[in-house]
Amino acid sequence: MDIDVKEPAPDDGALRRRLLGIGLGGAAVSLLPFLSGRASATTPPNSTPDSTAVPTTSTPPKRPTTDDVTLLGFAQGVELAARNLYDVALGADDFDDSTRAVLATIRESHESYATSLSGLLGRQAPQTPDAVFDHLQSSFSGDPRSVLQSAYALESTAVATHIEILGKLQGTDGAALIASILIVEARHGTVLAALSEATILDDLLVSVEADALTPAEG
Amino acid sequence: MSRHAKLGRREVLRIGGFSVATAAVISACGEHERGQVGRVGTAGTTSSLPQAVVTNVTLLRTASSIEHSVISVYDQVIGNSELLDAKYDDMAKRLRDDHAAAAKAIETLTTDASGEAWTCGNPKFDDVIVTPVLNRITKGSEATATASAVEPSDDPHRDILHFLHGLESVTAAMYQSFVPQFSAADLRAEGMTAGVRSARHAALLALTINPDRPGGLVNFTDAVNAEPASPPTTAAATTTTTQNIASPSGGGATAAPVQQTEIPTVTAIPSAFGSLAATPLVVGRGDENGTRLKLNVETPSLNSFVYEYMKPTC
Repeated sequence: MDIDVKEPAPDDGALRRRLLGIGLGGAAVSLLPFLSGRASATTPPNSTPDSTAVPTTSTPPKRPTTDDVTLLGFAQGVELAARNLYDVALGADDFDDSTRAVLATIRESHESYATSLSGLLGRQAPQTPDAVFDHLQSSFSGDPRSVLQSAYALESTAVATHIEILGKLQGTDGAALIASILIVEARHGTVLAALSEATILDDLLVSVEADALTPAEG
Repeated sequence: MSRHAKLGRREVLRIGGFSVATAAVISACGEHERGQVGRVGTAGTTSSLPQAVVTNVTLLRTASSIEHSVISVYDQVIGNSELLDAKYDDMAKRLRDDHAAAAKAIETLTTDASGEAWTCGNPKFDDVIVTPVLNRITKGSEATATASAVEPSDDPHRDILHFLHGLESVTAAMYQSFVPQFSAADLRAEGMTAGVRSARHAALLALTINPDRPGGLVNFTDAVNAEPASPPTTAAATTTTTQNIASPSGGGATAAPVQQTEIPTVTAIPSAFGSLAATPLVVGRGDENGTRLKLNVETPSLNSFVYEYMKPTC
C-alpha cells in the first residue's frame, strides 16, 4: 500500500492555531521572571529582619599618593639624620658597654627605618638626611649625659613628627610602616631616659612630647 | 491515513497550560527576596543575625574596650600588696590614669564619628585573657578528671608585672594594627598617640621586670648585631647539667624537682619595628608537670571587635 508522505499544505486555520500556541508558550516564558516573584516562598512577615543600615565605607588607597611620597620622603630624611647623629655619638669612647650597645642598636634601627621607607618609595626616595642633622650635630658629641639627653629629645621629636605625618598620609602601606616605626621610637625615649638615670615618671614616659619637624622647617 | 493531525483548540490550551505550570514550578524553586532564604509552609519564625561590619566606630569602640579592660586589671592590683609590690603603686596609678585618659579620648572620637561610646571592658578579651590569668595567679586551678589541682602563683608579684607588661604591649600593638584599618588619617594619628603611650608603659615595665643591662634595655641579638666588637656584658650564662656517673643516683634517692616552665624575658626595646605577633605570656605556678599557664595574647580581631550592634553590659 502506498503511503502518501507528501506534506500537505497547511490550511490557514491550522497555521493560526499553531501560531497562537507558540505565542502562549512564549508569553508564559516571558512572564517567568515576573511569576517567580509571586509564586515562590517568602520570608514570613513576622520574622526579624536586620533593620541596621550598613554604613558606607570608603576604602583608602594602599600605595602612597603623590602627597604621601613627599611626606614619606621627609620621614626618610629625618631617619637618615638620626642615624648620622648616632654615628657622631658613637664616634666617642665615652660610653660604657651597656650604653654603647643601646646607642648602636638604636642607630641600626634608624637606618632600618630609612631603608624601609626607601623600599616603599623606590626611586622617589630622596636618600638625603634632613637638615636637623646640622642643627643637632654638636649636641651629639661631648659629655655622655648631655648626649643621652639630646638623643632623648631627638627620639621625642621623631615621634611627634611621625604622628603628624600619620595624620596626613592617605595610603595605608605608608601609614602602616610609619606606625611600626613609631611604636618602637616611643620606647627609645624611655630607654634613653633610664640610661640618663631619670627617676621621674614624667621623664621616663616622655609626658611632654617635643615639637614636630615639618618639611618647611626641615 | 494522514500522519498530520491538526493542532486543535484543546492541544493549544494544553500546551499553554503546561507552559504556565512549568513556569510556576521553576519560579517556586528559584530565589527571589535577595539576601533571604525563602521558606515554604508554616514554621517557627527566624531572626537574622545582625550585620557585623568593621567600621571606624567598631575599631574605636574596640580600642576603648581594651583600655577599660586594662584599667580594670590595674584597679584590682593597685593597693593590693599581695599582687603588686607597694613600691610600684605610684607607677601603676600613673599608668592606670594614662589609660583612663586614653579611654576618654577614644570615647569622644567614637561619639564624634556618630557612634555610641563603649565604656566597658572588652567581653571577649576579659573572658579569654584577663579572668583566666588573674584566676591562675590568685587561685590556681581546680583538679579535673585528668589533672591535679594547681596552687596559686609561687610569685604573684612577678606574674602581675609580667601580665601588666603583656597588656601594655598588646594595647600598643592594637593601635598599630588599627592604623591600616582606619579609613580616616586623623583617626590613625589619634590612635597612635595612645599607642605610643602604651608602648612607653611597656618599656618602663620591662625595665622594672628585667634588671639586666643592656639585656633589659635592648634585644640581646640586636645589640650584638649592632656592635659585635662590644658585646653586652650581661649575656645569659649557658647552663650545664653535670652527671656523676661514678655515683649514680637512683633507687632510694630523692627525685629531682620538676622543672617549671621558663618565664620569657622581657626587653624594653624588643625589636627594631613594632611587632603584631602574639605576645607570649607565662604566669602562675606550674602543674604536676611544671607547666605554667601559657597564653599567646593577640591583638583584637574579628572575634573580639566591639561591633556597633553590641550593647554594653557593665
